[in-house]
Amino acid sequence: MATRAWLKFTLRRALPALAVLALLLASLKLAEDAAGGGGVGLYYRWILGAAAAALALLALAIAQRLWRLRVDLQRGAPGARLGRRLLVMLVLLAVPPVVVVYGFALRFLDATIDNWFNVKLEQALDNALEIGRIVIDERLRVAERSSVDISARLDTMPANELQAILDDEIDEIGATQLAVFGNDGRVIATASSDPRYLDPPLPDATMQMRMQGNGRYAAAEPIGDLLMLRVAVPIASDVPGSRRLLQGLFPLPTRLQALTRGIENASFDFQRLKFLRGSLKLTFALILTFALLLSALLVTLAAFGVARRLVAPVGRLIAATRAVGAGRYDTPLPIASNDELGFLVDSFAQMTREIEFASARAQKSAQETERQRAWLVALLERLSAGVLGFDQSGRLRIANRAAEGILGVSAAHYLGRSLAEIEREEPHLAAFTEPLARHLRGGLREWREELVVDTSDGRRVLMLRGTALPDDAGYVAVFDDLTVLNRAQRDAAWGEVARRLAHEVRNPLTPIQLAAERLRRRFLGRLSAEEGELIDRATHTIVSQVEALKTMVNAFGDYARPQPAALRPIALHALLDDVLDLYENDQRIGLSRDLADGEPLVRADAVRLRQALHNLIKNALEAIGDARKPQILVSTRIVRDDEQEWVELAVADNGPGLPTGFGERWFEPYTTSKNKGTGLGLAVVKKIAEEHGGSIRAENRAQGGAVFTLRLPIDIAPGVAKQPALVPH
Amino acid sequence: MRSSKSLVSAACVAAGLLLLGGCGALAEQHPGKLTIRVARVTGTPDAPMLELGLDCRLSGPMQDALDHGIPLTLQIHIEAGRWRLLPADARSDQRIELRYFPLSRRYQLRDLDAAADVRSFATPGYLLAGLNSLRLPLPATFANLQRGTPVHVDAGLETAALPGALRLPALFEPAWQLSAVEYTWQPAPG
Repeated sequence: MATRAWLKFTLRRALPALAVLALLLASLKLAEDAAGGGGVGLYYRWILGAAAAALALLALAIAQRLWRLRVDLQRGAPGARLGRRLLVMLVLLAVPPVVVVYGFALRFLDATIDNWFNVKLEQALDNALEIGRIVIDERLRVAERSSVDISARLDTMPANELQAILDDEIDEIGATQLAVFGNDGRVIATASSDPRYLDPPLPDATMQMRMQGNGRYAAAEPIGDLLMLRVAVPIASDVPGSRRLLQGLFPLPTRLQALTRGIENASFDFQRLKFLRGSLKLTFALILTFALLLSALLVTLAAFGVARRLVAPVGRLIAATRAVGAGRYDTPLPIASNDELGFLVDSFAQMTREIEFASARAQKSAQETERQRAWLVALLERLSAGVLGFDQSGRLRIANRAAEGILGVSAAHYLGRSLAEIEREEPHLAAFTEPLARHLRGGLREWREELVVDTSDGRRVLMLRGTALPDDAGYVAVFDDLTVLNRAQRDAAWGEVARRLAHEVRNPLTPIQLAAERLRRRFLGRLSAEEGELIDRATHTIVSQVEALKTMVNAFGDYARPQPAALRPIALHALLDDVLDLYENDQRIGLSRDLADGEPLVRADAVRLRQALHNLIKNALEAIGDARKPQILVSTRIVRDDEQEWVELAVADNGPGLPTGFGERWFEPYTTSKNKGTGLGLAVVKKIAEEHGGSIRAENRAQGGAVFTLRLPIDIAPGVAKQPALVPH
Repeated sequence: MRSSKSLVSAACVAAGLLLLGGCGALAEQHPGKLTIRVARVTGTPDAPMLELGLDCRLSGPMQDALDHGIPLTLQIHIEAGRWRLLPADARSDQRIELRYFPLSRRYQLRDLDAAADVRSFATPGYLLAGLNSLRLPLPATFANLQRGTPVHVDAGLETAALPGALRLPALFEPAWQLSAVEYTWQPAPG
């Protein structure tokens, strides 16, 4: 991480700063060098290369920032567009002045350099140079004449006397050096008045050519550090083939020497500058261009920095705004500065805190509301009464499970619909929806009405009550299924009747029977045959009717059995087999069984369950009657309903089927379609089913006949029972 | 947006044309020519000398600069050794200055490393002809070279000695390129 941070710092900060510094130093050094104060000749190309590299580096740094800005723009980073706008504005503000200054500087440079080369100055320098040349030429002519004079004196001199003459003449004519060269170019004699010029310069090709052309040579030559007048004249000789040469070096006077050097230097410098004019302009233009690029790139880099610095808090504010919008309040905010932006950050932070508090309160309130709603829903779901809620326009908004169960429809399907729409789809509920709609339209604050409604589960008696909710929030309708209540009341009444019958009627029956039998034994032998027969028939009738009354009382006793059932795990199939085996050998009955796989266990009172099964078979046999041979099918199956496993014990017959209008009342005592019987069989079965947490239902079979189905809750799933179940015998 | 793009495109095209034009103009400049005609080490074992014959032709700008008083310096590098990548057995750098004096209208050829060796010429032709016969002093190590040791000489214009304003053209303009192909020989034994 540290290496990465260092690399990032180097690439983004240090390198551009170094590039700026290098470019600045290179520009200064190049300018100094171009002005003549350089001394960077050996490193010139390196300096130039460094400047170019620095420019490239700055350009790369800007390109990298531009690329990053582009990426930020593409991904919609907070503040990217504002940063771009700010960058463009800053660059547009800063670069044009720099370019204008650059243009003016170029123009000024051009004019300034051109102004250096004043025509009059050049002319004056040329004139001065020409004057210098004239003076030198005059001196040359004097020196030439002196040399010719000496040469004339030397023409007859033998070689061994030449040196003496030269020594004499050198001071005479004011020469610095005199030398005589022979044919072969060798120095024959030489004299010098200045120890710096002991060796005479040898005649070169130019001199020899001039000698051949003009017969003599005279020129000012820079010899050593001084400008000297060099004169060469031939020495006449009588000796054929002898071509000796006298060469003299004459100094210019010291004052003249200084003046001519000054003139030459001035002219020299002017000419050199004149020649360098174009190059100077080019070099200074290059340096100015470097300065321009440096300024422009630096401005752009600075603009990036300024834009980033200005936009960063705004960007973070935008990010924070987005986060707050998304419900996150912990996004860090930029450090508030002491300006308007700081005020904005502070205000935003305060606003965020308030929103957070408000949101927390709202959330808590929503949770509380949701809890209340869940509680209300749970409450509604557990109400035995049906509850329907309607809005002001009469559309169904809520219905509990009890309402669905009582009405036999799915409330979810009708949510948002009006009562008229419900009635169109469920016309059999018209007895319910019409009065309800009428009350809703009537606008009464509270009302109640008892309704008889035909539902899919049969006819039900409902007590419907309605209330208008406060603040015109709608209506709520509550209805109780009085069918069950009525039945329970009837069951209780029948139970009471049965108990009283069992208790009040059974007690006198035995004395009546005993008294009748005593009468019969005492008087049957003493009376006449006719009277005896009367007594016999009467007592027989009494005894048989008492037996019948006993049977009926016992049946009522069974129905009103006060003691609770002794529930234990019972293997149902084993119990069925035990009971059915009793009917198996009866040739009058066609009995078949179709039992489910496994051995379902039920928690039951074996005696009561056995009685229920006997009652169902007996009910089937009585229903079939003598018209046909009874065919009874006993079957079981496992069903799953309401997260509970059930076993359904069905007894089907081939009788005439259920009578018209068969309903819940047929499971009440003394309700029967048969001529004989107490009408308590099915009531007892229903009572036993309810004692075991089950139910009984009856329906017609498709192939004819009826089927009574006893549903009991399974205690342990079939096939997984490990404990041996009780099989009663 | 479209107009700014067009402007940028036009600027790019103009810059390209200018660059091509500049390259073309540079290519049209005739460079000078410098050839090492002959080179040999002579002299005594104590004072070996390099006898160098240079054929030199200055380009127009160079001649112009010379006539305007700008000295031109030729750098002559001599090195003896069998392997170029290893340190040389002997090496020396000599600098020859060509200069014009307007008052006397004389061209001067000066060995900058031996101040006394100055020759002046009336014309640039003679000046350049003077380069045909240069005698430059060498370090004594050149007198003791092993037999068969090759000696390499190269020569060229020393741009670092030019005035600062001329360094930029000297870097890029062909007219300011002046260098000789390296001359190599093996000194004769004895």
